[in-house]
Amino acid sequence: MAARRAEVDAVLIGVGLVGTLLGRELTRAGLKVVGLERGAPRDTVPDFQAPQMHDELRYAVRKALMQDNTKETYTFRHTVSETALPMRRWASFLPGTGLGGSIVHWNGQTFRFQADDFQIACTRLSMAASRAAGAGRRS
Amino acid sequence: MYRSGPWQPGKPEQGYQLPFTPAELFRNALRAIAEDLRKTNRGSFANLKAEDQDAYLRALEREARDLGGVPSNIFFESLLGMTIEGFFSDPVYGGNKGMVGWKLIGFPGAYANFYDFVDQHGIAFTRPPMSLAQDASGTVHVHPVSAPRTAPKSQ
Repeated sequence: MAARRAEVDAVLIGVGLVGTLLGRELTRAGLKVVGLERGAPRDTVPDFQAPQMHDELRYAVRKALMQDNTKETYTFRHTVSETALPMRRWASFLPGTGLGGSIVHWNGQTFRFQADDFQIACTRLSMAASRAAGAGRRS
Repeated sequence: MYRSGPWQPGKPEQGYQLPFTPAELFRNALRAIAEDLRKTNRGSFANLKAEDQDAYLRALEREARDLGGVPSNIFFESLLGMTIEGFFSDPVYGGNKGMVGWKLIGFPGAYANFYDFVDQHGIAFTRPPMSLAQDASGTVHVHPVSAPRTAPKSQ
């Protein structure tokens, strides 16, 4: 039978990027908030403490922050004619778990920008600039 | 690693689908290699000449020969991966002794931060690498990593 708990003003379903930001805003506004999240609780210290957090084998290679795939995984296929099979090891698709959600999955890695990234930025900037100039002429 | 069914060979894009844990994979494949060399009167792998060892490994890499249920190319891939991990992972795991792998490529290891260097540009970073398990006197204590209080089990 469902347990009935004390009522609160707001319940966050999932405490990831959006949940944590909302939680901060709502509690700042004086509301009583409960956040629901599956998996382990985590805190800045000790869970994200340096230098332990810089353990590349544990986190970047063995994906210790991701969902425990010894217990649960996803099956997938690329076309309807294939048989969907379980993802046995995490590779490019990284389902997360625990407090912090996908906000922790970037794993502290900020990749150096490639030449193409600047190219994209330049192209978009110049497109925006010409759009702005066009709008200026029309007005 | 997920170890329940359904078990069937997948496409390469579906990733690893063998039923073996890494330990089982290595044991099966190494047993089959030892057996293969014994049956063909070549002794043990360790006793082969270096160029014969290379040729044998190259054949394993190229072919998908059956090694106790493990395709030899998958075994080779795993062996290469584990070798790289052993050589470049933190010495806390027992490999990369004296941080030789890191010194080789100039990797600084696991410094907690680089605050002192943030405003310094164009200078070479010459400090020796730092291990996760290094004490104040620089001795690396090799032991299984103690899991952070609430971190999920590593896979």
